[in-house]
Amino acid sequence: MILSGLVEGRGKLRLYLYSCAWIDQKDPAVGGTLMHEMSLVEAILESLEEMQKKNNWKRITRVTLNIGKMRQVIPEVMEFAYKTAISGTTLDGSELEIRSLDMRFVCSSCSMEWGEDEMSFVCPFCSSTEVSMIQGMELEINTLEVEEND
Amino acid sequence: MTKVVEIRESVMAADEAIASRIRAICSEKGILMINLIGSPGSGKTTVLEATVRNTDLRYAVIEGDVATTRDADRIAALNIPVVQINTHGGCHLEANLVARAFEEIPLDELDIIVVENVGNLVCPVEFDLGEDRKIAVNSVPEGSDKPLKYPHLFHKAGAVLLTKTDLLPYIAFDLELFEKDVKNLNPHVPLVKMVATEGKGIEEWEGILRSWLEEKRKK
Repeated sequence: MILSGLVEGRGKLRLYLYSCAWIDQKDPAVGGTLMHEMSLVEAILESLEEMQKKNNWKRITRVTLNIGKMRQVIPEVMEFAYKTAISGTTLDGSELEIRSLDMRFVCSSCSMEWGEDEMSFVCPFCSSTEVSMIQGMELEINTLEVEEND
Repeated sequence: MTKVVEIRESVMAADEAIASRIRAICSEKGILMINLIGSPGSGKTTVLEATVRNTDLRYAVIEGDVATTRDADRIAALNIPVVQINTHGGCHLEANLVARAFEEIPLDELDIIVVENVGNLVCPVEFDLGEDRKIAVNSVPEGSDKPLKYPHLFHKAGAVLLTKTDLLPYIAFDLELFEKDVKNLNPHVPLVKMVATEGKGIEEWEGILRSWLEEKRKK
């Protein structure tokens, strides 16, 4: 099966062999990043830009994030990535606050709750598997502090 | 004048929207999509080779690597449609890349799309590609402590493939502990022991894929 086509834009798509194609994502600014905190920061900045336009805010001065401990995000790396990414942009000078949320589990069979020390989806009290994680999986923009246009 | 605005929106809302569209396309076409996640060298490509050869199921593969087309070459040699994505430093695939790869795949003639993610136990699990199931690939030489070290992946996995089990006699791998830790994170997940180079465990694995595909097409 022969594939054809050369697509320019965010990376190039090339013919490689008769039955495969190849996407070469050379531009690091569009996502080929070294750590996933930077990917997340880029996504946040895109969202903030859109929100700022839509709401006609003068400036965003503070961003708070809720990040659950299961999400494998290192807050210090995130803060560093944010500071680096906003430099020279309209967000320069804005603060990033990360609310790091502990893992919390609850068993719907016996209603007991527990934390990361006993990280388990099998209830350590009654061995039921009717367990859900009520906190610790969040990865969201919580609030923004904004300056409005007068 | 400053004010505080409540947002409560996912950090990855834009990419998640793309993942939703991918999911919708696969649902419409009745295609099962799986996302293979595991360390470099865990055996993902070898499992994939064993999975796609000698079967009547129709596959396409999306390969994610930092560099080279070596993995795509291996799959192309089996006459399976394959797209290679090179991230040049990116440690994981994202939905926007997979969406572009979809443009090169014959979606009307497929049963299963397999995305082989960049070798990494951490970042890939954070990014929804639109798949039906994430698959955790863990090899015996990596050791039995990986589930608790990488709980997000093992919790989210639709199946855990323990590869290179022929090395169990030679490596200090505590199988009982591994199975217990996996069960604690994901009580009902199927755990398939494999020696992919010899085809061991592949039949069981194909059975799981077929049941997921059947379940999906019933909906």
